[in-house]
Amino acid sequence: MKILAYARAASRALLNRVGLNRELDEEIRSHIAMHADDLERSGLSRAAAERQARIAFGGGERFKEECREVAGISFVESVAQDVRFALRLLRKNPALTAAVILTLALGIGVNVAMFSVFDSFLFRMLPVQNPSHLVTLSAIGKKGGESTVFSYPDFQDIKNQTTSIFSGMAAIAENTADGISVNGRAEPILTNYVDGNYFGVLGVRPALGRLILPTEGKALGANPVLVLGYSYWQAAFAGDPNVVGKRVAINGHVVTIVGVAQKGFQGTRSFLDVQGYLTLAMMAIDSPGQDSNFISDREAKRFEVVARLRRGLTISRARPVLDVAATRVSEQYPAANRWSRLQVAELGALGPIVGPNPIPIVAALFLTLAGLVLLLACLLEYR
Amino acid sequence: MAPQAQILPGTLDLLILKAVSLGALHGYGILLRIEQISGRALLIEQGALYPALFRLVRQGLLKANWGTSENNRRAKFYELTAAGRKRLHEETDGWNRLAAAMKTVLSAQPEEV
Repeated sequence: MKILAYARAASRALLNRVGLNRELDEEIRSHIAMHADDLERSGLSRAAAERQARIAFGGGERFKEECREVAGISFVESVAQDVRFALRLLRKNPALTAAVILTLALGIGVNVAMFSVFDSFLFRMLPVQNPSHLVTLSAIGKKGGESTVFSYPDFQDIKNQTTSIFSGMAAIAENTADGISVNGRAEPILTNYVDGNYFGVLGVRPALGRLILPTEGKALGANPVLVLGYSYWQAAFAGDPNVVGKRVAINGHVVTIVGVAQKGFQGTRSFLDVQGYLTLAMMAIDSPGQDSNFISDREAKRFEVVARLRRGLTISRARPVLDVAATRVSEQYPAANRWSRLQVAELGALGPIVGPNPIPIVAALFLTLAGLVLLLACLLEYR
Repeated sequence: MAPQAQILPGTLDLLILKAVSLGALHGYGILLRIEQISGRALLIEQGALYPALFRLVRQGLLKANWGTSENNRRAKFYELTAAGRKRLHEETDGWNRLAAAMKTVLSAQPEEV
């Protein structure tokens, strides 16, 4: 418990400096008064006696300063002594020293790791234009339950009925691992199937070439284009600018690389790094046969929705319009949709989330744990 | 009145310890007692007393307590600690040896060398 004792001594020394001045002043006053008392008894007037006593004492400030120096120097000396003592102890017990350094390093390391993980995953906004205006939709069922995925026709209907609140809306198919084959070498990559509005809604710019256009991907199998993620372009193509126009195979289908997404952008979930973006129309190559009719099938619910709120609108002001759209779509297609309402939520770093946002709870839990580890490490040092 | 002498550097501490060893005193009282027991032969700069007192307290040779003087003034009274008493004995012995040696040296006559 040497550290505690030391902190106490240091604070006491600082407080003492204030107390020291006051006490010295009082002591000197009392000295001069007593001298004046004696002088007065020898026949001087009180005023004359006090003046003479003050002169006899000499410069009080100078002596006070001397006292302060005595106090100050010994404080510095004791600090130096403690440091020397600590170093000597550490040298004498190399095993203990190693254990101390190791526990502290572990404790600090765990904390740094936790904080950087949470910083990048949860607290940093997506590197897109005005990320706070981005929202995600989910449907609340009549019998409870919540779903973040929609069929393509429903997505189109909702989009058409909410143009007053959203400046843009995009559909994204869940993340998938696809096989890419470049120059005869094959490897799996993480891809997103996105509609033509995806990059426009997010406000992402190309680092090279172009991105998927709003006119693309409207018909099955049309526009076999591929946009590369920036870090994948760096890793797999060494940042080669001549990659645009190159033809590669995805699951055996030939696609043309048309561009690279802007640096730092890695999809709508910050903990994943999407390596390639394809049009929705190319979904047939992912699982042939199953998704051939996704454009018209209201039962094929596999698209997440990202929308951008119009400038100046808040989520709460957007709600009434969404309620109307939800009622209309579910009344029109009662077999496919039994929605009570549509929920709109900020697009968090984890992407669309069902239910209450767990990030604050999870973050609090893990940061508390990391803090406890550090505390434990410190307590071990004390013993 | 005896002729006055400035005290030697380093001797003030010893004088204070001696003065206080005869009973607890405040700073002004210490001054008076040193003047009195030296037959007014030793002159001490009044203010210089306090840094010395402060140092002795920090070294644990004196302890100080606030009290009331004979004239009803609040004053800080100093008294010897056990360590202070021990130091006084040591320094007194040392001083006596030194003084005796100095006296012998200074009184040496040519025929004794």
